[in-house]
Amino acid sequence: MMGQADHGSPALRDQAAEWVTRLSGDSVVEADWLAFQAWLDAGGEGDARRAAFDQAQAIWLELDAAVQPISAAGRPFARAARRSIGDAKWWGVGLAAACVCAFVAQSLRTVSVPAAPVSTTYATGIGERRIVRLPDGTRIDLNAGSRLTVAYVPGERRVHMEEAEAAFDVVHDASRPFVITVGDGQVRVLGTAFDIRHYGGDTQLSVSRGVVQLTTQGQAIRLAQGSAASHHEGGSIQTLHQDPGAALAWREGRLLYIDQPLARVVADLNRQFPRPIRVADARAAKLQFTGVIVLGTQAQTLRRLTALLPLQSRVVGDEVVLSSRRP
Amino acid sequence: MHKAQPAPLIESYLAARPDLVRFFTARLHSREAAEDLVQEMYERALRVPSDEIIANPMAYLYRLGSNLLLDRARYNGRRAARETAWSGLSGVRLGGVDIVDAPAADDALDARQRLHRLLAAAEQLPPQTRRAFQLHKLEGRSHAETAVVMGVSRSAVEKHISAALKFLLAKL
Repeated sequence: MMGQADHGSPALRDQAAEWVTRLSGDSVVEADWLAFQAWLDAGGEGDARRAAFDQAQAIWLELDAAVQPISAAGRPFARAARRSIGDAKWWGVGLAAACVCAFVAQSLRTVSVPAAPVSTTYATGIGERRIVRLPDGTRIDLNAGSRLTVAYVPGERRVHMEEAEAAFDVVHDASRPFVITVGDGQVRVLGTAFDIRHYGGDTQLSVSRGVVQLTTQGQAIRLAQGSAASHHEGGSIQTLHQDPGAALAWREGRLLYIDQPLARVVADLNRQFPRPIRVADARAAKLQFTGVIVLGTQAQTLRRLTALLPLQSRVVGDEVVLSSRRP
Repeated sequence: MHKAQPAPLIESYLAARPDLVRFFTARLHSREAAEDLVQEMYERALRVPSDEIIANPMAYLYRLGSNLLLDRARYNGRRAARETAWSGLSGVRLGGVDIVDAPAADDALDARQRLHRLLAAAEQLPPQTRRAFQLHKLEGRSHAETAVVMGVSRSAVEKHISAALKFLLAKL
């Protein structure tokens, strides 16, 4: 974000700039990839190297916006590109702005909450995602088919999650703990980032930064960065081995599964698309799925799924039926 | 095709996926194109028989991705990749600093001002560095082509380009 060039030291920033340059060069070979991977992995400071690289790369891509509109305007690229830097600049600024505005209108709604300590309910429909910014700067990304209520009262920031999946980035405030009630459990944090998924009595919690405390009847567990846990209403807490990045993939339009039943995949897709998907036969219902699904239109998404599993899909009336594909 | 336990190659893929996207974003000048390519890698990796012994999965994944990249380059070219970069930029990563903490859409004004500032800052680069930056970054020439136009070596061009990026990063 602007003015937030705080990812690591200047030395790290310079290294990141060198990697971006090297990798966008003309002759990149396997040794470059392995050296790049080694450089990323050698960072003892958490993901500081990855963050520095991402920042350098983001700026590099952003600058492409200064060039793109020239060719987008239909001029031959080679000739148009030889226009002066000044022209490119103004095309870039104008069209980048137009593009950003269109993007805002189409896919995301950002909501600012008034500073008064009131209770507000946020909900998303099928296929809708939404970013909620709370008065203290805390950010909540809501996935499709979600509903939660926020109440900021003196001494406490309180959220009640109904059926929902949300990624929280909570601003640190030791004087006002951030408390989430979810099913029969409670999640308590000071300042941290994590994802909670709560559907049909199942809660999954995945921590990407800081420490989170999960309490249910008779059990309390502290989860540190990189760890995850699940809990079914009335049951005990299970810790999970899961990459926290996987839990957040939905924010980038990807669904990532490791050994998940097809029913879970279908339930997720049914929150993304209005036309319901139904699994027709028991054999299909028993399938387990490991993989990444990039969300597109429903038809595209189903094509990706049926390419990865022995399934076929067809539209029957108002629904899509998934059935086993006989070998 | 479908397995209850992920094969070692798939496990390596899942672990390396974010870094593969980083790498191929740099190669393709587009995060969106890189996401597509990395997804296609996954579909290819799934078709590798699970009993096949792969000594170095990371190198294997790189070769898989590079072959797909070459296939693509044959009919796509750098220009098309740059054009998809445009649509990639309209995503949550515009003005993006951090992949996980992607900026909100209401940073649109910030992003516009920032692009303006970046281009203004680029005008303060030392003359040779600025020329390399313009030829490569704004006019879309490769490092080698830039080297020919400027009459310098390719490694000199790379030094200018990374100096330009360091300068811009420091200015932000």
